[in-house]
Amino acid sequence: MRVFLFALMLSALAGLLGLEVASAHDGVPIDEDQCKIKVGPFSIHFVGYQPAESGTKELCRAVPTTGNTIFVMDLIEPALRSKNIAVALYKGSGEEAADQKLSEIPAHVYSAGFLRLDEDLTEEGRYLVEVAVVDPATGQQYTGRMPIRVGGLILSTAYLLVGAISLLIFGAVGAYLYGVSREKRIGHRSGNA
Amino acid sequence: MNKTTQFARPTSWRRFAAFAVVLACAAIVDAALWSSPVDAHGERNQEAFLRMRTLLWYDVNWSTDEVGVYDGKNGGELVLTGKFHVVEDWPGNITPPDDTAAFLSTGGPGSVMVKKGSYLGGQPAIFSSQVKRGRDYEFKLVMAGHHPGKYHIHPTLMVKEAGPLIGPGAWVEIKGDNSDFAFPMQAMEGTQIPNLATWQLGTVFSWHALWGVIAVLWLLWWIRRPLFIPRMQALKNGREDVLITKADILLGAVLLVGTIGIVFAGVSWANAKYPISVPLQSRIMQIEPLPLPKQTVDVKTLNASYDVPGRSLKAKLQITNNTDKPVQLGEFTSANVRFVNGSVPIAKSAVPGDYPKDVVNEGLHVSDNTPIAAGETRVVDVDATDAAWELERLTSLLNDPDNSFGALLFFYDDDGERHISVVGGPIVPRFL
Repeated sequence: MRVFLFALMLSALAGLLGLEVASAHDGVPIDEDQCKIKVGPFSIHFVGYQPAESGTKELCRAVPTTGNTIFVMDLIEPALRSKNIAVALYKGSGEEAADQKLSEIPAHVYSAGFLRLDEDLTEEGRYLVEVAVVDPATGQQYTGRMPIRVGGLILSTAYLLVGAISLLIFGAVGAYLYGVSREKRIGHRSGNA
Repeated sequence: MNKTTQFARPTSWRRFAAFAVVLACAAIVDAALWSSPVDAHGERNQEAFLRMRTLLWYDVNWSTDEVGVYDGKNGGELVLTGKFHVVEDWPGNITPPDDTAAFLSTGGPGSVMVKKGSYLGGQPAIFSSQVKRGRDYEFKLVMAGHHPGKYHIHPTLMVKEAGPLIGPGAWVEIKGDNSDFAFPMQAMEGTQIPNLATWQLGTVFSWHALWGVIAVLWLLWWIRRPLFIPRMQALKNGREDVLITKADILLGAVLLVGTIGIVFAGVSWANAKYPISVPLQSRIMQIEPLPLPKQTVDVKTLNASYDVPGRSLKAKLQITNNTDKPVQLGEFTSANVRFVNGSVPIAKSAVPGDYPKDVVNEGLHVSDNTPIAAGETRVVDVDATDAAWELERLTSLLNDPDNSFGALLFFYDDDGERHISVVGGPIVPRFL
């Protein structure tokens, strides 16, 4: 029983190791990176930095704490470099966010292929980044949004998976050790009898 | 104790343990398969320090962006030419190319094209070669279409113990029908081979089938019997004598003798059918590099940093013009990305109109862009700014234990003559 409980405790620890406070891009190539804003037919790579808190670590929808935050959007498709792009940051999510605009960058052409938005996030909670792309030739406009959560405990899918697998492995090892221990005890009692 | 009780049914805890391990393995496999498909730019997965400080490719040209499926006569050819510089500041954790072998090839999704010829320094690159650090080499690849489709084709130098060092890529479309493909050739002793892709495939399949059948029969012989846990039980009960029977030993002996016999017969048959053959070649060629330039522009990196959110490599450079004409900095190229100085018309015109646009930008800026006079030494601030640093995943070098960059600088004089310099050094990330 002690062996089994010990194995169960190890499993729980393994599961806790699967929790991560903030998600990151983990060095994945941009093509496979899931941290993108879909703006009509275009994709824009989205990344956040909190230099004072975590240096060059790349953040996505989950920002671990309040403070100075830099959002950078990389224009994946070359066609975006000739379009007018505007960005706005709102506090909140959904309909309520429309009334709480914190900052914005007016429409501009970004021939270098990226744009940045610096903001001092003073409160925990939900935010919304809205990107608008306008084709200057046709006037066609597309809009995309990226919800962001600042603060709180965030579970990363990848690390949850690792935690679950660890739990299963430790569970299997624990069950095996318990069984071996039990058989030894049974064998010992039979020998004594 | 009879054989039935020796191989007892596993107890419930063992079944639970086995089930849990199987579930864990299934989860791992599922996670490994759980990735989005990609069809190009696999070179971005390669470490940034490999792409910046091993080979620096330049003047790469693709003769066409469309070929047909090669049928032995028709289909056209893709001729891929260019040069590469072997960086002197080669990463210390990789065997230097001077001490190992390198082989010229292409990078693409499998054998979508076939190689008709390859040349390094003007010599046929049939064998592996050795290239020297600090020197430049010219290459040429002649390719033909095999599988229809649109593919990203790169020149690649496979360096032993370093891996594939990939040059820039361009999209090439192969049109036609795969069933039309043929690669005819004549062997040295006169045998006409109508299609190298299918030559003697029947023989290959037959040998594979023979060994496959033998392997499956051997496997079935064992798995029809009780396997791991009953055998472990037998061992624990001191009955290892029942694990291997006389029939097992006899079959093993037959298989051993039979395998040696089949191999011997196969070699005899092959030698009789093909009496004239050449062994696999293991020679390593010494390739003549391009001559060293008579006049140079020397560059020293005084400091370098990478502005992370600004997507900009900033460097302070000391430039000494040892040529006899004034020069301007026109291009900074590293890891197949070209940062062109848009203020230097000669530099802009040096980029071919059909060059892959996703790796060219006008993001090079020089603090003092006026021509550097002959004999002059000048310190300038240079920045190469573009989202390409992130899109090409070059910023991953900031997470390397050796944060160093490497690049080529192209200087141009008024006559359009180009002088190439190598630059590099430690780099630190900054937030500006």
